[in-house]
Amino acid sequence: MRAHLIALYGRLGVRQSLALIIVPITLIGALAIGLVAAASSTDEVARHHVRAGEQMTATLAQRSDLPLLYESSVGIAEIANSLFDNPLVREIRVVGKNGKLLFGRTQGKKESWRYPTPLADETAANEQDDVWLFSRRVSTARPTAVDPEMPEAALLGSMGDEVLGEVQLALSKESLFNARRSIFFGNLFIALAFSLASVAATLLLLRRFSTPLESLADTMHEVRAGHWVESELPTGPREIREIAESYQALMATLRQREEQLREFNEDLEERIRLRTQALQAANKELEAFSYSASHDLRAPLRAIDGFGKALLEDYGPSLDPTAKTYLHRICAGASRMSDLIDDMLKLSRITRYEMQVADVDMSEMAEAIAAVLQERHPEHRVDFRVTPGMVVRADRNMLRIALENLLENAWKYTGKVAAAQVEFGLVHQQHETVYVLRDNGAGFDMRFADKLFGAFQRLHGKEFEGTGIGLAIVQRVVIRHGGHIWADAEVDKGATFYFTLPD
Amino acid sequence: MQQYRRITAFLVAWLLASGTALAETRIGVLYPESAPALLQLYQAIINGMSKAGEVQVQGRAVSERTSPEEVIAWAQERRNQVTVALGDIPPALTERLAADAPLIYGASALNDNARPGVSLAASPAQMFDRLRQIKPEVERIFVLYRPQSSGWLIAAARTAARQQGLELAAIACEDAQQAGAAFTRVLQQARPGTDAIWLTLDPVVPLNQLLPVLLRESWDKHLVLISNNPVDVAKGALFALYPDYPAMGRQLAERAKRQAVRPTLSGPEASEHLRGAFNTRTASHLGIVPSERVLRGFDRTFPEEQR
Repeated sequence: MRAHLIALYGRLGVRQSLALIIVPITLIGALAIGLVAAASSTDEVARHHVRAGEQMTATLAQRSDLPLLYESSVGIAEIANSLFDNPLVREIRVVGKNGKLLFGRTQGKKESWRYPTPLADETAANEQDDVWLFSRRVSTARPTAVDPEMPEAALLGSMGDEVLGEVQLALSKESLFNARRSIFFGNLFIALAFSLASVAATLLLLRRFSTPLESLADTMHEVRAGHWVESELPTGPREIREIAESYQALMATLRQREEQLREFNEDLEERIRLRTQALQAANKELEAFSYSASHDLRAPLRAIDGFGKALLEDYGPSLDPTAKTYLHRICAGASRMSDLIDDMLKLSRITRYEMQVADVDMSEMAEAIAAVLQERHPEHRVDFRVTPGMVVRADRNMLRIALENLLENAWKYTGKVAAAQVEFGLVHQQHETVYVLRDNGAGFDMRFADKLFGAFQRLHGKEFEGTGIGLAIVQRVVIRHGGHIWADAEVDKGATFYFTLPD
Repeated sequence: MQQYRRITAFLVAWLLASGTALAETRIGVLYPESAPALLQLYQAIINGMSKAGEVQVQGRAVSERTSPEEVIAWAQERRNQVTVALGDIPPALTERLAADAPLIYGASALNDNARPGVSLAASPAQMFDRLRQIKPEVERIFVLYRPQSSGWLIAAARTAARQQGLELAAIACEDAQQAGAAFTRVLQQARPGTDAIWLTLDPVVPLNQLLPVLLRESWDKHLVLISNNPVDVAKGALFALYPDYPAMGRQLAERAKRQAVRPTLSGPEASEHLRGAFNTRTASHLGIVPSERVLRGFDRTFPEEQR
């Protein structure tokens, strides 16, 4: 839920975001202020009524002393009735010192209120749900204020007093409730009006900020969509104008750079086109040359080999051994030349071949090639182990050529080892997979490792047959797949070939 | 020789001073923390006490917060022989002090027949004597009192009335309502020109409520109204006698000395040293033309002082 709200908020514009924060805060603040003011005003109204009640009670007490002295309600009725002119007065009671009710009158529903007990010459007050209750003692006490004209009389006036009785007054809270309602709704109305005015002012102010920002955002959006728009500078606060100016300058620079880049790209495209044309022409010439060379070179070679064998077959018995040897060597030479031509063609085809990449199970392919080699050389038992499940993205045909060359080399160079072993697996190194082919055959001198993958480069002479093109082909295949190949060996201890085939 | 005389003179002076000191009565005076006007009156009383012979007087203000132990320690430290409580002292203090040493009261009405001290109430003998001088036609004096409070005063008043040839109509009341009803009857019964009403300091008489009625009725019926309070004279009573506070202080000091010698001495005594207030307008209404000698006997006159 929280993530959803955050995502929703992120989609809002500047104006909506600020409004979402400012408007509720303004409303809540105004409402809170209104409530506090209402409470304060209500308290003041309550205090005013309590003061009024205390004054009325004091007046009643002052006028009730003689009636209480003579236990007569005559004088009380007049003052009490004048107090009842106040519609909030609910009840007045004048009680003699023995608890005898001298005067009692209730307006409205009669209730059994518990009046507070008065102390000395003060009006006691408490309140219940719907009334304030006041009571005051009435006594014979004389005023204790000192007359500055007769200070000697100060001691003579305070000789004690007698309690004559008590006055009680109940004041309705109805006006308080009405005032509370009026004040509350009045303050609420004012708070809402203030809030609306604040919100309107805030939104107007936000427009001043958000409109230029929105205009700028629209321009940026158009540019992002690829439509260069010449827009006027937005009006608004200085900072926003500066942002817009900087943006326009940035866009001008970008357009200039883009133009330059486009021109450069066009130039580059032209160069590539020309070089591609040249390359294609060169490839065609190479292919023509390869075809011509192989075709034109094979014919004489076939003649040499053919006539040589014909001589051996037709005139062999009449030839001396030296002549026969010469003829064998001539045929062997022609055959070798033919092999060399074939290998050159293979190498050139690898370079020109159009790759079709797919998932290839290299483990299965290696096992199939090993099986063919085993069948081809039944006398040479090789312990061949391959890690299963090595699937790579490669051109199947090119990969087969590479594996055939590698495995043929392994079979060949372990030919003189009693317990030949060839292993094909993989290791994971530094974010890449390295495929490893290891044998325990003749190995090679690492001093000549740089020549290992050169075309027609042989490190073992006549000891082992070969044209020296196999590893060059393997390297060419690996490079065309974007990988790299290297080797590690020791003479008579075997060789290990490593290669990578990136996805 | 000269040196010998000097030493002898010093020794004699010292002995005399010690003897005097031993003869002086040490009096501690307690008074309540009050408004400045009342404090001035208490101080005047204390000063008056100090001027009495053979007394050493020390005053101390107390309040509701003062503990009895503080006051007892103070009295013991001063070796007070008598304590005088002026005005309204908290009973918690006076009861503890009275248990240890003689305690008398002053600067109050002493509305208690057993309470020792000097009351603010004026001497009835002087009241009636002054009345005789001003209005010799008066034959009867009405007074309302509560026996438990002012019985001592009324007893002295009866004696004084007899001596002056006056009838004292003292009406006992238990509470303000009875006093109110009694005054109604008095006003109905009173004879114009020959009856007087005496307002004492007894609180059973609700003067705050009744004085306007009494003044009006006595004016209408040509009754003489005498009082213990000059404020009543300012409002219309004929005259009032009230204590001369410094002189009352001397009277208190004498009473204290007697109390020190006889701690069981009980009962209040009225103030003998008095000042007076006189209302010339009321006197005129009653047909009284006071002589200069009579007027000189009063310290204040109302409506205006015209001395």
